Amino acid sequence: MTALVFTGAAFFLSLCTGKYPLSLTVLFSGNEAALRVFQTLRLPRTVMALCAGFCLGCAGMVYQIIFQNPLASPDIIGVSSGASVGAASAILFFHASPAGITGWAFAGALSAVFLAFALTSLTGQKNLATMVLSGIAVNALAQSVLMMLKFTADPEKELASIEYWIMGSLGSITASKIPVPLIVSASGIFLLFFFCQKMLLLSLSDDEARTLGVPVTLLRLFLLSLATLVVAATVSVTGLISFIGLLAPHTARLLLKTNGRTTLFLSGLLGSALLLTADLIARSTATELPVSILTSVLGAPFLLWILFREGRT
Amino acid sequence: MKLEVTGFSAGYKKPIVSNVSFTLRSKTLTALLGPNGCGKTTLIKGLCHLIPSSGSCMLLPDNGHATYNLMQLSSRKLAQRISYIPQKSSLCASMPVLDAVLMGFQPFLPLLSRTGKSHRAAALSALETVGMQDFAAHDFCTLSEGQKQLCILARTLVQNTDILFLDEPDSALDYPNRNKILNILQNIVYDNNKVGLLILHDPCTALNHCNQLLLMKEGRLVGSVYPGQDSESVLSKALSRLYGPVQVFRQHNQFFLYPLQQ
Repeated sequence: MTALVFTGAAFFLSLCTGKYPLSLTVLFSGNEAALRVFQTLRLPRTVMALCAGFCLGCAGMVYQIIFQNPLASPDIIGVSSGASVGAASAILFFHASPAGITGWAFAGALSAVFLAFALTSLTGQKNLATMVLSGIAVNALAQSVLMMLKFTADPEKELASIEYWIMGSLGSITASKIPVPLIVSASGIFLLFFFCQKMLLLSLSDDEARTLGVPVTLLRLFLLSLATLVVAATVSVTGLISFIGLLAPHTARLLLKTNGRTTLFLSGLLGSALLLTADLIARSTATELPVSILTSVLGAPFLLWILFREGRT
Repeated sequence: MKLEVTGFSAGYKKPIVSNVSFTLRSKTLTALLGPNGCGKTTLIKGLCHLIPSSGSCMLLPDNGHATYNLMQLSSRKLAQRISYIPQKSSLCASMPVLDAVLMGFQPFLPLLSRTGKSHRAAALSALETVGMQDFAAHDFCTLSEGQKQLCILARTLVQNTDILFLDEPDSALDYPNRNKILNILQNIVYDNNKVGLLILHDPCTALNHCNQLLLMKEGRLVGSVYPGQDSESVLSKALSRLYGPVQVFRQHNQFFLYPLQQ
């Protein structure tokens, strides 16, 4: 059963990657130059979708384990809202280039999460509940700053740019945009897989973990920072992609009923599969749709189907 | 080996446990008895560094090695010496029972290592000791409370510390399993020269399975008796301090306890 889902996901991925020559049949009649241009656009885009989906899926599982909540997602401590504020500021105040927006979004995401960490340690009680509350506070703060920025934005140009960024898109991915986020995310993902067994120790209560000699606060901070780095690197390039960080790990854990490295990997694969499909449909419409619309539209029924199936067995 | 606790107090803002002193010996199972809220769990959590505490807890090894104060150890070093079995395991993520038992190796694993084949073999043999080897691949979260308790005991076996603190290990278990777990604990402590301290609610269980009973009331130690040595009247008097007038008697090599009419 596991193997079936595995191969299903992997097959799906190769199908999606393979599909791009199919859409190019239109261009086969055209000139070679156009074909090449599309290859430099289509291939990076597909690669990015694969990697972004994988990163969001894996990071999502890390958040769900650490917060001991199957409904946790990277948004819980402010990555997404921080990134939005960063991107909006870049668009409004610095009229930044796309590279600039990426940089500011990354900085915004990291700042928001470190603010949440700082708030948690200021309270003196460094437990999970405090961290969640700090995350809620940071989210609320970031959302209000974002609202203010949107309010002062020029409705004709800037506001549209901000909203479009928030909805996420893989349309503007070129080869030059890939290396840096890919290296950052890949290192983060590698380390997360390496520390997977230690991460599972955080599914014990703080007290019980401490009696096993686990440095709970440090480990939690370390793993969350890694996961946040991965998510921040991803969304700074693609914009906010909703639902993958919640759906992929939840589904993977529901299917495999365990939480080891296999589940982490499946979570990544499901994330890739979802994002590739969503992006495929997104670019097939007349005006390219933002990808978040599709991740939610595809993801929700899929989750319902899985729940229905699990409920019956 | 002896564990000497002197002048120990523990509590969050106000000390719940005040100035408690007692000695635990190896090959001895000690029961900690007392009414609800008297500070038994607080005492044990304090000794495990989970609650702010003061006082000393000296470990005096057998073979002439130096004594040292357990209160000064780091969390990880303490976990290599004391294992703590909570009343209920808090494990909330699905994983195979074997993986849950493997967590017992954590205090000894270097930061960058994972458990290997030999660890898995040891974990499986620990599961055999508690009779749960058939459940090794089952999801831990689907087990009953009693079965989970047995698996956590297996995890403690794997952790292989000299000192075991257990918080009501029998409360979730049915009658036969209750006897089973206490017999297992007796064997572990005798055969391996360990020190065991259990919080128990039932004085009969304590009398029948433990060599020493520590009686606690309102954060203080009000007595200490030895079922193997003390007479029935001494035991009755001591337990009456905790439970009101009770009478202990011995028949068929078993202790029984009943409340005296007012």
